[in-house]
Amino acid sequence: MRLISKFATLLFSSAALISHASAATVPAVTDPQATPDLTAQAAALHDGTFIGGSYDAYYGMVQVQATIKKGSIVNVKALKFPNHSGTSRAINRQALPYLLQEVVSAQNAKVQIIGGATLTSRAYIRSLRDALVLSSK
Amino acid sequence: MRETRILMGMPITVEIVGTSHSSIIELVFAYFRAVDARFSTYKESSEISRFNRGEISPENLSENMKEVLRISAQTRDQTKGFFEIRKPDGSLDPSGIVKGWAIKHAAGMISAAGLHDFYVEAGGDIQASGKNEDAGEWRVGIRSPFVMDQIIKVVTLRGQGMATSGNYIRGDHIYNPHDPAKRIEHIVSLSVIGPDILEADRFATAAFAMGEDGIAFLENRTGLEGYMVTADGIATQTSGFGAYVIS
Repeated sequence: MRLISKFATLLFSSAALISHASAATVPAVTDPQATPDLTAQAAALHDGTFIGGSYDAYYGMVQVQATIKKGSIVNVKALKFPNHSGTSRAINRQALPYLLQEVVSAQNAKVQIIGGATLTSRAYIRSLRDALVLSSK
Repeated sequence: MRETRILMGMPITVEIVGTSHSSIIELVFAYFRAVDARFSTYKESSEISRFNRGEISPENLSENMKEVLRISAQTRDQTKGFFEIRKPDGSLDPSGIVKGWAIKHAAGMISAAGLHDFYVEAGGDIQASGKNEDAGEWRVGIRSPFVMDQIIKVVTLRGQGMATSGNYIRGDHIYNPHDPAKRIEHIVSLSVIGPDILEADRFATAAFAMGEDGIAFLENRTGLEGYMVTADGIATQTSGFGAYVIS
């Protein structure tokens, strides 16, 4: 794919580039509000670290940083994310006395997989798209 | 080998222990792309969009669509109506079940290829199978709903699936069908471990919509365990959840 059409894909169909060389081009998304459809293309991503824009994910702002090596995304880090644990402490909750409860705390055990709430919002995808556009320049 | 791509608006990762599984991994990603093309309510050309516009009659739906609608109806009946794919405007949106359904089928494709040690993860929902590359059990971290780079719980999956419903980053993607205008604010994350990812996903979606009653619903349902985090940073777990916990 030529660079110019790649930009068109990125900017007008919300498709971004990621990781792998073999997949086909995504058809254009006609609805600009649609969930961005991201597919695999490797060429023309330049190595480096690129920061996307900051977008409102409804519960807070999301901004990501993409690291590109050898034309592939090797890491996407959230620089900003919704965090309202500090402001929600006063919420009064009903107890569920017969079930085990605990205060959540960070764990350091080694894992192979991370599950749970994910950075899949449109705001995240937009920020990632920004970072990938920067990496294509 | 492990591969991550972004499809259906979310990162999807497939890891199959060992090397040179690229052809089956390609098949799995092609499958997710086909599922998206059929079920995405964001795509005007999808089967679900055409059905919602009245362009396809119920009897002419694909077998895949019929299966998803059947499971959706079954789940609604099993959850006192808290799982409901019919939106207030009358259209159908089966996205609360399609992810788990697709992950389950993707895992089935890998198993059918004679491979046993793998996982499929899509948007934080996981189907694990067999052992990891160190011949140990798959260890899964549950991401903090408050601090994106933190893990708040570590569990092992021995062939089960784990799905999480949350309210904080996708916005209101789950609502209470019995009171659509009411936002579910108090619970920020509800992870469910089930016998497979489809069971985990459909009941995670429904239990989340129940609010605080959701964890009691899971407690009373055989084969399902849950870990609920509320906005005050307190986690409540079902009585069998601890059997999966490492830390």
